[in-house]
Amino acid sequence: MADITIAPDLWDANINPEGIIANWFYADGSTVAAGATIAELMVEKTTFDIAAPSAGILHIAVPKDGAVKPGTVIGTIDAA
Amino acid sequence: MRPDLLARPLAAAIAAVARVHGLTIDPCVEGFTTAAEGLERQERLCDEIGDGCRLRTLFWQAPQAIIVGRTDTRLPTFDAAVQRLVAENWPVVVRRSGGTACPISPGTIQIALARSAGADFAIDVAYRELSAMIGDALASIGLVATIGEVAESFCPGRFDIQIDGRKLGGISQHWCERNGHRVVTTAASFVLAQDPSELTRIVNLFYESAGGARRCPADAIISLDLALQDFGSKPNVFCHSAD
Repeated sequence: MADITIAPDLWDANINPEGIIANWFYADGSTVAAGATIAELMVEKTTFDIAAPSAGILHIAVPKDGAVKPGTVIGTIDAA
Repeated sequence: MRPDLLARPLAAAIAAVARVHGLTIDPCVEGFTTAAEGLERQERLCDEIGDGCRLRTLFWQAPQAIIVGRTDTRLPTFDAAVQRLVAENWPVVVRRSGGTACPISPGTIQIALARSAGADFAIDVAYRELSAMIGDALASIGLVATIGEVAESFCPGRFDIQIDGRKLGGISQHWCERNGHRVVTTAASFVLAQDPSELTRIVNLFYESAGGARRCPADAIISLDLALQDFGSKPNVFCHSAD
């Protein structure tokens, strides 16, 4: 199992405490390829493509519009 | 003033400032037949970043359109708003960088800078890089711009470029992984010579039609043309320190 983690240094949480998951591009339980863009994170006027860390079955932990902080695990991928 | 007479000198001034910062930028301004084509070209810049290319820039202009963020597409009556704006000859295009609705037209210019972002290259560093280049370019023609949010403007953000409290341009970003590199595309839209009241009217019409609450007063926006007229109307004042 691989965690899908928001990089701890992605933004300065002192300036913007939280971002939101703006989109999941795959449904919970979908099969995804390693490196595929699976989600989009938005912090103020900045968006980040979140890539799948490995291939497998996607399990979403933080839903669309959910708030996240640097270091948050937003989901996992189980080997297919 | 004709927007193209402002676009090319502004692009050249930004390129000159970039050169001082050690960046080589092509000041050519590309024209597109639709905003969607221009936006697509801008969003493909990141694909060109790799081991042999660490920086790509694009200055572009296109016919009028309103470029919205993905969050705008979730407004209650977004589809109706798209139809309403198409009827007004303002097509709606969805971008992948952040922020809210921003109108573009032949009276605006869009500036995009895609670059490889090392581990220490954070969001604010990328914003400061482009906003400083634009600010320095404006200073070279005598305009004093400051950076900070114009809360009542369309698509407000901490790195709004403003003159006398009115927004002249705004900046958004998109980060992704390409060709083994972390890539940030920082994109600005800048009002050159377009009546601010027409730009704010169309943004307000979009939100009104889409069921959104956001509204923007015309005096929150300024064009480069208006800023230059205002600058030209002020008497020259020279201050001399005698100590």
